[in-house]
Amino acid sequence: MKTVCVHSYKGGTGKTTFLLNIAGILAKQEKKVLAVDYDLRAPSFQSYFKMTKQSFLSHFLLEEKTLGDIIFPCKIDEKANLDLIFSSMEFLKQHSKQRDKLSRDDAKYLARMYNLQKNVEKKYDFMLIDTIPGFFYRSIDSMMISDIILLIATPSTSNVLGIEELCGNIYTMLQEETKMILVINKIEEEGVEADKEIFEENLVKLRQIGNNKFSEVVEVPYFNILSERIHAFEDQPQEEFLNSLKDIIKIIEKG
Amino acid sequence: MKKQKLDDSLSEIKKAREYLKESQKNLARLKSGKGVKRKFHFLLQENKVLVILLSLMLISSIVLPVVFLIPDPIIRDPMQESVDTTINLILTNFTDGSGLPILNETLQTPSSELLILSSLAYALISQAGFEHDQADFQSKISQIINTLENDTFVTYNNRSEPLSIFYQFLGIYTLLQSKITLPSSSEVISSTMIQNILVKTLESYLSNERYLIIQPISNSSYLIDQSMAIWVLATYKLLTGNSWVHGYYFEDLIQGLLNGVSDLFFNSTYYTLYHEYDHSTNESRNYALVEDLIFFTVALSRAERLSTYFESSSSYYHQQIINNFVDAEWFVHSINTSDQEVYIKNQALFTLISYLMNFGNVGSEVRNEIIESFSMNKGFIEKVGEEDITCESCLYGLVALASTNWSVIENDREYVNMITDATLSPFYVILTPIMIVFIIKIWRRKIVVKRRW
Ligand SMILES: Nc1ncnc2c1ncn2[C@@H]1O[C@H](COP(=O)(O)OP(=O)(O)O)[C@@H](O)[C@H]1O
Ligand SMILES: [Mg+2]
Repeated sequence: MKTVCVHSYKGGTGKTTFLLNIAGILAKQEKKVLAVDYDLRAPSFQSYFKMTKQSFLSHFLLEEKTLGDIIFPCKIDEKANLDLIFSSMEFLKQHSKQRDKLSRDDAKYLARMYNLQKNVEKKYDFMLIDTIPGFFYRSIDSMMISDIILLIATPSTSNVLGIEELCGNIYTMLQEETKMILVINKIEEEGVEADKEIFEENLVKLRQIGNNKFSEVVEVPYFNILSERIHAFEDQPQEEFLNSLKDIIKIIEKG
Repeated sequence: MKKQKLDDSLSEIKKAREYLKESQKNLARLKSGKGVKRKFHFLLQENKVLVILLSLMLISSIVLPVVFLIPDPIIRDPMQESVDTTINLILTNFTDGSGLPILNETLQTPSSELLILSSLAYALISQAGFEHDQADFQSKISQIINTLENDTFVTYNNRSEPLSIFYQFLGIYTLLQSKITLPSSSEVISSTMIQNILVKTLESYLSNERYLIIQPISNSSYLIDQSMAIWVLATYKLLTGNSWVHGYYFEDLIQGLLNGVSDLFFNSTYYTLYHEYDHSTNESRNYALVEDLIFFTVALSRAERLSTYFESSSSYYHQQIINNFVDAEWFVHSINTSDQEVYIKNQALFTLISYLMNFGNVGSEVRNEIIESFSMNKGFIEKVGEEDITCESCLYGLVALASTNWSVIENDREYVNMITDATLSPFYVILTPIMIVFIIKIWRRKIVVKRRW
């Protein structure tokens, strides 16, 4: 089993979009995939799927529920199957004690994630983990147990600075054990960042960082896509978008 | 504001790096089949057992010493009869119409000194477990308080004339002992009252230039006054646990007085003490009398319970008294053993201090001599070989009778204060709230760790 996590300096860079769409493509290819929503700060798997169940990753991390309780299969067709572990904003908001515990620098949660990984490693080909953006203990846990880290960055000034920060402090420390891929997601931000010149400047910088510090760099253009959808499962998918994700999948499979 | 944000984010990065380093080690441990190393407070949080154990330890560390140090109940002493007889004798022969003690039948005026002495004697016999008239004792205490004028003890007839320094301090000592004796509900004596009198006395007699008690008019200092001051200050500190009184730090005061004694009353060649120091001629005069030595010895023995220093120990002076003033039959003489003056007062005081200093064998011998004199005369005689019984001699007799049991209680009490207040109290004061907060925090599983998202 390959464990892959998506990380970024800021939110809204396309982590969840890429992760679930990659998961969808792999599932379509009849790979066994487990996608884990570990973005406890802004969990968003739920908006992609209709979920009424009340068992979440946090239950497993806090030893309140077993793995079997929190994994939900999502059947697409006869052959394709995607398994999911959810997190819930609502739930964490209502259970602030649990949320507090989960935010601490307690090594227990690394052990829980490792345990999760060990338990599923025979069943799946891929485990994909969505993470909290930035320097959080739980994002570090996810990165620690991953074989590959997809760092998603948009060419915005703050993201460029953030990536430098992350490279200097976190990624270099992980590099020996982990394959690091920079995914430049060419979506524009509103306001100041809409300035074309700055956008291009930042793009150049990102490419530089990517070439110097990462083993692979992938660029994903902006597509006119519906958000919060798994496009591989759609009847008429946006092929170009899927193709560009397939480039990433190739690198993942190679690494 | 910006700077603050930058500092915050830098510290976040630092935390993240540290966490990552730990996680790398932890992951290696996990891979080799071991568990992760978690931080102590997280472990505690999940082990309520530990919390309960800690709480029990905390509670027992406070409760157990107290339980063990509660003095054993006092078994009724066969000497109760002597006490009863003596109290009756005082009531019939040495008490005026209003219940105040008088010197003798011819001199009918009550005296403040006797009032202080009788209250002290009553307090001690009461603490020693002898039965007596509680109401009578309480009225005496109220009378003492009436003899106060601006926090100073004054003579009974002339309220502008203060008592001697010795009696000022003995008065404070009496109030301290009486406060302990009275039921805690009784508000006759307040702590502030005692404190005010103590401060007033120190302000009136403590020399400005050096820590020394000085007689205002005569320009002399007496060893007995220094001793009384040390005894009272040390007792006050040991019983109340207070370290300060109105800007006076007890241990400094006591050490200062001890230094004064060692400078002005101490003969370093012979290790003997002088009776008096004349500030006008700068000379030490006359060797200390037995009374001087008795009070200095007991004062030093109390000071030794605090962290103070003197040239030689209280037990050394206790032995000196026995060598130089006590004869083979355990009579205490005034100047030396060949001297014929043997007063019950010295006999009683030496009994008292011997017991207090844990020389019970000496105390019982000296006291037995008094009881023998008592049984012959049906009252405590003033001076061995004579027949006079006075109010004062009876009161000292009561003090001697009370000594055995009272000293045990007093020592325990001082000991309790010594460990809980004097040395351990800062420890407890600091530790207890920390522990309580700690336990509550852990109990509610809410250690103050900033949530990081
Ligand atoms: N390459 C892209 N082209 C067009 N829209 C994109 C692209 N990548 C992401 N988006 C959109 O950006 C938004 C934020 O993406 P999301 O995956 O939720 O970010 P994150 O999980 O990092 O917070 C979503 O609406 C998503 O559809
Ligand atoms: Mg997301």
